[in-house]
Amino acid sequence: MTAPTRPLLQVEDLRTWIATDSGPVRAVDGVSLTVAAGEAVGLVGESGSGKSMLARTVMGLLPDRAGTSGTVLLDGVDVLTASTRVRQSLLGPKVAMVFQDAGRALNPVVRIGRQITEGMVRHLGISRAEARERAVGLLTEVGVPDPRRRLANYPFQLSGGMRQRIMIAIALACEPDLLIADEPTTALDVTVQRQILDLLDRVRTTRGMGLVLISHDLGLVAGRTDRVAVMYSGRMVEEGPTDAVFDSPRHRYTEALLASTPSLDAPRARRMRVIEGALPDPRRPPAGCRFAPRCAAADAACEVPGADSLRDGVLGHRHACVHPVPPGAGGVAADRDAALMPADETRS
Amino acid sequence: MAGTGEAHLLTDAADTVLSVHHLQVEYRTPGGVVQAVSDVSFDVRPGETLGLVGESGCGKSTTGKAVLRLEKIASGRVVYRGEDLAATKRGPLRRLRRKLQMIFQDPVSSLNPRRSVRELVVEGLTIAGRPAAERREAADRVLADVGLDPERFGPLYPRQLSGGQAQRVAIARALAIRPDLIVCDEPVSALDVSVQAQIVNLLHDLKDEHDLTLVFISHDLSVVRSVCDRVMVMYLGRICEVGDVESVFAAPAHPYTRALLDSVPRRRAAGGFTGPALEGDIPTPLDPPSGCRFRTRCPLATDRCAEEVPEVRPVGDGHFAACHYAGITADTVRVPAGV
Ligand SMILES: Nc1ncnc2c1ncn2[C@@H]1O[C@H](COP(=O)(O)OP(=O)(O)OP(=O)(O)O)[C@@H](O)[C@H]1O
Ligand SMILES: Nc1ncnc2c1ncn2[C@@H]1O[C@H](COP(=O)(O)OP(=O)(O)OP(=O)(O)O)[C@@H](O)[C@H]1O
Ligand code: SF4
Ligand SMILES: [Mg+2]
Ligand SMILES: [Mg+2]
Repeated sequence: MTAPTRPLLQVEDLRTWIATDSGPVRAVDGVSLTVAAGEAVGLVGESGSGKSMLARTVMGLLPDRAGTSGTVLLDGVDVLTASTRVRQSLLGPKVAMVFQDAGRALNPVVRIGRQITEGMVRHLGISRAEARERAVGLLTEVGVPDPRRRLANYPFQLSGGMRQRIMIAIALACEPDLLIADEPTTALDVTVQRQILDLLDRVRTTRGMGLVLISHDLGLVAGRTDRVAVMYSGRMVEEGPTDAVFDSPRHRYTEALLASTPSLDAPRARRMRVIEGALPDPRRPPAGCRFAPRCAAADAACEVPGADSLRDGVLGHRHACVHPVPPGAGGVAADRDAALMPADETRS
Repeated sequence: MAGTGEAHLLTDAADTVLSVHHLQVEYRTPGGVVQAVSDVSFDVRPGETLGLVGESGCGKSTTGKAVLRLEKIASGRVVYRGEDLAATKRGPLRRLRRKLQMIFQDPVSSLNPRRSVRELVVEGLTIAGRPAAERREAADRVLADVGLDPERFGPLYPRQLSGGQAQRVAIARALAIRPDLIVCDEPVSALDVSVQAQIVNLLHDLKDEHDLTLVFISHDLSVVRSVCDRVMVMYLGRICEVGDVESVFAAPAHPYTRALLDSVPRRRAAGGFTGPALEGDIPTPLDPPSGCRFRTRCPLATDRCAEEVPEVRPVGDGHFAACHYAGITADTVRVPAGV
């Protein structure tokens, strides 16, 4: 991807915390990330590591009692300090989000037709009738059968995967410059999933939309993103070109994550590989590398405060590991088999 | 069954935990009657995990809810350990509810927002009138089982949880009352691979300890492959294929199953996928196609497919499919006339 002059999204040393009765939860703790126009960036990491919180911070949709520091520049505008009015005007045309929990993000008592057209009427200044036509087109594109009749449905009348596609249609309705898709395809079968991802690719190349794809599906992230960032316990532990990170992970957490990935090609095993232990308590994370308590390679040097700062590597492949995996040693097993296959230049 | 028939059922109902015959579920909507589940029959055997996969909107959640009587059945029979659930009165049904659990697809919205995690996970025990000490012990155990520290997560409310944390609370809740059968609807979709593996291993352990039986609805085919003993594939309210997971995945007999397996993202393939994308019109459950419901998108479809509903028939050992041309691939055979 060619780098334009100013990135669409520029997150700098962002911290997001939520006050609770037992102390602040440090959900995002010093993360930097940029996304250029037309670029697809994957965001992966353990459940609870702060991916959705990072996304909600960019959207300005944080829970009560949340606080932030750092900067989040969206096309040059700092959303953390902008007025509510300015922020509202950005939502839809500038940045849109597909929420992880479609069931909760949709309004249960409003027909889906209205939920899709609302933003278009407000932001694009088109008539309700025209917005309806566009909504039908959008639903067709996201593969909802019988779109015209579906507009009259309430969310509860739809299957889980249909609700998710409605969310995607709503997010794309105002033609956002940046789309943050938080687990957009968890309720979709692989054939529909593919149709959606093709659609997002198309919008990205034709309109130059930037995409942040949050997903636990590493196969999907591998095939559909240019760069990938790995989060662990509120910190970014690795970031770089998708191929480089997946073929040759440097951080011990990334390596362990890739090693637990089940694959249709691998022999069928009854027990699956896990990373022993759990995420640290985000109210009192350990000093130094937060993965150290679960890491086989950890020693005293890993527990020194600041040990987990990002180290630069070739081609912008950065990692935060004190004892990194030697280059080329940690790719997934399925990939080593794939060495026999021809290299593909066709990937986006 | 993208046809009909019962060739795939065990002959002796005593060998099953759950046996479903000609299940039919319909929804009335402004646009017409949605035929969500049409003439679906299957059985679930003691201690097994039966996978349920298929296109979004094909009726998996509806099937899961209907067999637990959480959704109204238009016709058909659901027999749980010899008792016909469709005919069971409310009182005895409440007793059975404790043995039959459902993990719902939307984890966050399925949890009462006003209850703490600690209350939520033992709600079943509270309703059963179990003493506080037992509830406390059970809450600690199941939360730890799903990898959530009881001390930290117990006092939280659903909105304070990440997607994957909420999903694990929903799982813990179903496990707390030690049910006999659980219908899990996309139980690991919000979990990263390591936590997912942890849950899958936990389910294996529970099955080893006591004969827990599972119906496992999922879009993640690699998880289905490692968790399930048998798998059933649905398309637009009907069954396409059912069989041992190894045989179905190694030699899919129904054209839809084949298309599904071909669409799995692979690391190295162009765009992340291997086979071609499915084409053709996506039909609507308000007015499903005649004959085989897959015919509008099927590369093998002939005139016969429009006229005759294919019956489930054996295509291998413990492996059944409902396609007139099951086992035939587009590459090995010229597409029959009439296409
Ligand atoms: N309203 C809240 N109050 C307190 N803590 C919260 C709140 N919302 C989220 N958290 C905590 O913040 C942390 C990060 O949550 P986040 O939702 O960003 O995780 P995630 O990476 O998206 O995980 P998942 O993959 O499971 O969705 C979690 O530990 C979560 O429990
Ligand atoms: N309460 C309802 N009222 C009307 N129609 C409904 C209702 N619930 C489900 N449907 C319809 O029934 C069909 C089957 O839905 P179901 O939720 O069972 O699909 P599913 O296979 O679970 O799909 P997904 O994988 O997307 O969750 C869909 O067409 C859906 O729109
Ligand atoms: S060949 Fe005919 S019966 Fe078989 S799946 Fe295709 S349309 Fe259905
Ligand atoms: Mg999340
Ligand atoms: Mg469903």
